[in-house]
Amino acid sequence: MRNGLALRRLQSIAVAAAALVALGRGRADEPAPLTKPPRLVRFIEAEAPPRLAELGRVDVILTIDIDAAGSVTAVAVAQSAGEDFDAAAVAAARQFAFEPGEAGGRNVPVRITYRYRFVAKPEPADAGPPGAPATEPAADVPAADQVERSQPPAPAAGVGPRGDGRYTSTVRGEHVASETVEHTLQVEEIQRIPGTQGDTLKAIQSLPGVARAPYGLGLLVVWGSAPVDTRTYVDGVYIPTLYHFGGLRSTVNSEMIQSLDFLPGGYSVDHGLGLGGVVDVATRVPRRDALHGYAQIDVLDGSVGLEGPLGRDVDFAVSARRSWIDAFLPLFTSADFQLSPAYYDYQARLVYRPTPRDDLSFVVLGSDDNVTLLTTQPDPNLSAQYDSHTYYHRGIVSWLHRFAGGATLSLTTSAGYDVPFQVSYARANSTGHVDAQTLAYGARLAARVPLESWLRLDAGVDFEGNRWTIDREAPLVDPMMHANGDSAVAADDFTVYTNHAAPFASLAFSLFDHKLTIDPQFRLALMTFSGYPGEPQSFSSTFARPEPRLSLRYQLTPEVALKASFGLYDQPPQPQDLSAVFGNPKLSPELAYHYVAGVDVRVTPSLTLSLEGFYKDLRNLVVAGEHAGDPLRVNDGIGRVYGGEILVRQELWKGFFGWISYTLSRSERRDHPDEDWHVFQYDQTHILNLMASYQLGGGYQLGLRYRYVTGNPTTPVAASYFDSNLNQYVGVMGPAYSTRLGPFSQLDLRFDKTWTFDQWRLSLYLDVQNVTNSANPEGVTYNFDYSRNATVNGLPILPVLGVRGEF
Amino acid sequence: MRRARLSLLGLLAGCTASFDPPSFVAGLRVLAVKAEPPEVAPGETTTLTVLDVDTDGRAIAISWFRCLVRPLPGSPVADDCVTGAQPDDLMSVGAGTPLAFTMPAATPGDLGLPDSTGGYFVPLLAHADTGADALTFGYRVRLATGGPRNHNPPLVSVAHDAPHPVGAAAGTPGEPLDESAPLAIAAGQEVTLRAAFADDSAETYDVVIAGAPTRTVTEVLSFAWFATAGSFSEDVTSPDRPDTKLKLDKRVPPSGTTVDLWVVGRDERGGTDFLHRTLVVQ
Repeated sequence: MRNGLALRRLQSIAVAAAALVALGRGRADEPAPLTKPPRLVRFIEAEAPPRLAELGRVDVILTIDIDAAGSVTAVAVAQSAGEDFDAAAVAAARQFAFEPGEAGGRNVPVRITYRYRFVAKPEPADAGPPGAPATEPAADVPAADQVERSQPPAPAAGVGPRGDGRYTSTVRGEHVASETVEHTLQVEEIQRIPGTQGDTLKAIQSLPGVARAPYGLGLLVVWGSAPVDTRTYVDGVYIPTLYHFGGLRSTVNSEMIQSLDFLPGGYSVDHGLGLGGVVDVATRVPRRDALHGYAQIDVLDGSVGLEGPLGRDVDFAVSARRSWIDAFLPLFTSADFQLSPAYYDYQARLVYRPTPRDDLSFVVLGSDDNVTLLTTQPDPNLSAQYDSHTYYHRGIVSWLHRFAGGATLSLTTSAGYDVPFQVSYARANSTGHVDAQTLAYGARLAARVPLESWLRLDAGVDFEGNRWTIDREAPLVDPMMHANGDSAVAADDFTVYTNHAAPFASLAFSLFDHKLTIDPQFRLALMTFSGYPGEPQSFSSTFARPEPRLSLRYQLTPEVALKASFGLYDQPPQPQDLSAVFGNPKLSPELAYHYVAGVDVRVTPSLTLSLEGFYKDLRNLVVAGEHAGDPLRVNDGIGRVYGGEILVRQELWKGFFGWISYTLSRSERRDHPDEDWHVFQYDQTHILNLMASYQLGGGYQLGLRYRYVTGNPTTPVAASYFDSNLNQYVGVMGPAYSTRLGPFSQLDLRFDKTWTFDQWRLSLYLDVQNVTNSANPEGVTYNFDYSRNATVNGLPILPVLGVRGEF
Repeated sequence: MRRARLSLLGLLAGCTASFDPPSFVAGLRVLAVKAEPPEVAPGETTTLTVLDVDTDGRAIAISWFRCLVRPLPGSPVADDCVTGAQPDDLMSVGAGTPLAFTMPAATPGDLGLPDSTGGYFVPLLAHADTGADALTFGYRVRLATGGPRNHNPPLVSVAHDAPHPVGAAAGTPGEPLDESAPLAIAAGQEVTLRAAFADDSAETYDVVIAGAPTRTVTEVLSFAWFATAGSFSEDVTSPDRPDTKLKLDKRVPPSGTTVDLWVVGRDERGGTDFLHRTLVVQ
């Protein structure tokens, strides 16, 4: 009893899977999976700060490193409750002792996430003994089936410490092979990145190798690849739309995200169908200790969520979000200009553990965007109505089984219905529409088998299929941009089946005391495209593309690892490009070779440096036909991307985390054999990101983000003429992307304040974008005859205020 | 051909530079081309009349060419014809205005896909040259393909209300502007203008696009306004909302100077007509 209060230290509840941040993926050089988690054998009661009497209950989330002897080697605060509570919890945890974790028949170092709960209670007799993991093993420390050993060497840019041969808790059970370059973000970090309003997927745009899209749109331009080349997965299942309205918000609520892995290139065989990067989102595993919930609002939308146990073996998490910009936007519009955007999304997950070795997971998620733009002007050519309704819905069922010997088998199936693109317009007598809908279905079977302590087999098969119906009556080029009645118009309504199956395998050799990892991999991409079934123009094509890949890693010293990878990647043409009218049914898959080499350095246990060089050779790219009479889409394009990047990253340490990254790159394309090379539309020579966040204590925290990028390429207008039929000048473009906008430079700040009450917490944040009100160029506008031009600037200073309550 | 256009992306930025509007006429300009008749079959002749202006009073020489290159989808005229990169792509068809042009033996298949009105066009380009300034303009002659032919929408009048201070209540434009008796207006005043087409100028036509249902629609007509001084509240109006205000608030010439005013009427299919009026600054 201290300060007149009896301190009842509830059993230290290790944060259930929801808080077991995904710190990384399994690597090829993993010696063996964890077979026994560490067990707490000595608990030290913390000295409760005086404030506990008024607060009642306080949780501090800790990250604890445990060595092979069971001793605590490091303790860090993962989620603060204030300086006083943090210090008390850390001081106590440093004196903990554990029964060490085991893997491959020997003791191994492990990292766990641990919740230290302070509870004020007047009855000293109720002060229980130190939490005994033996009585609640699943709650106190991650059970064996909830942890997974990470790769021994330091990762390229992992947020969480994963190196030095430790094990780390993770929510992912199945990652096939090693990744040479991988950036992982913890939810706790993401929610504090300025300029993103806590949006998980927008945080990707602050990572190295990601170019900034014009106007801040949510286009992921990764290592010089086109946005469509980077694929986003949720729990291993592809989703078609990453952002609401092209960048306003992620379509997956950050509250439902456990972790995010970002693979810019050179990735392993468990991913395919894309020439660019991979964004792999894991939904959160529901917390099991009690019912929790939250509500959050800001100027754009509001969301609510609930999670908790439904029984001994069943847990759930659910969230929903709805915009309300459509409610207040009419205040800023007029009868002549009406804009009605609305969006919502939802996610739910149910986890059932029928046996200690089996996990069943049921996930449903979806997103819906609806917008109407109506302009009524005296000029009939400016009076128009645009309507767009896009959405996706997914159901995912996954099963994971852990065998006694450490092998795992997972099966994921999914089905859904998507409308990734839909727009209709009416302007004067010009009407048109594009309506693309698809029934999406997929399955994935993957096994991980540790054959020897130095050899692991990962193998499986991927299947992803779609039945597309695409109805289009529109100008042949850019219907959104050329809906002016001056462009050739055509119509097509067709069905196309696109099916992709890919068996894959990876053999990871860990040699020389696990210092050298050689991971040869192979994926066979089988693709079929069948269109216009039963119609005269029906077509069917099949492609079998072998995709060899190789990953190497050498642990030069305990702190320094060299790494390299090579891979071949195929990407099917976009389904709309298979149209006999608007595209070309004879298109074949695009192709890319990725070459990556670099070094990872762990400077301190929480400070990492990574350096990478990359080269991508792009072939068979789908581009517009060169001559009149050519098919509208042809496989004439080639490309090359080369560059390097450096990332220095401080993981959460004493309330601080952040990173600084710089990417130097060049991305070029050649559209047709007889044409010159030009820089890629989104090429940015320099990309600099600085991110920092610091907990000031007392529930206050401050963050900043600074970005500097080279201006985007633009295509100048080389000539123009007055088109009398249209009553307007028409510009004829000069050499593609031969000029550039000025650089983009922006500072964002974020300020958070959290009040902790007895049963809940209240947070207020102010996220200010473009604090210095910089006039950043986003595009070029011309006068009526293209004789003069001016820069179009981006958003000025933009403060966003939000509030959040949780229990 | 890629074309520079105001896009939705441009709207996102919400800010545009301040340029002179297209309705302000200074220097060499071509405001319209009128073909009479506007739709002809192969072998038939149409007369092309250019509404050209040079506010510096220089003589304008016009030379006409037919673009022989089939345009890429998405553009009305092939790039090379505009830039002159391939001189052989252009075939001279005459000089001056008016010009008699005979529709060549062309079929829709020769001319690419239809525009949004279902029409096929033979593109003509022309150069207007004063010796000091030059510009390129184009007109696409609609190919008659068997259905009812298009006609030019005749402009019959331009009416005005009483000039009044900018921002004051406007009257109803009921008084016709007289070409021979310029309306007097003072700097700082505005006048509401209203143009009118002849009755039944808006014709109906069928939009025939392969793969899409045939639609019968009524032409959408418009008025484009031009002046050598002041600014319009609306550069383009329609019969449904025909009024625009000409404000003599900027670029005002000295008192006693004449201000030229043009209104160009168009339909969607190449039909054109135009009128000229004058104002005098008090």
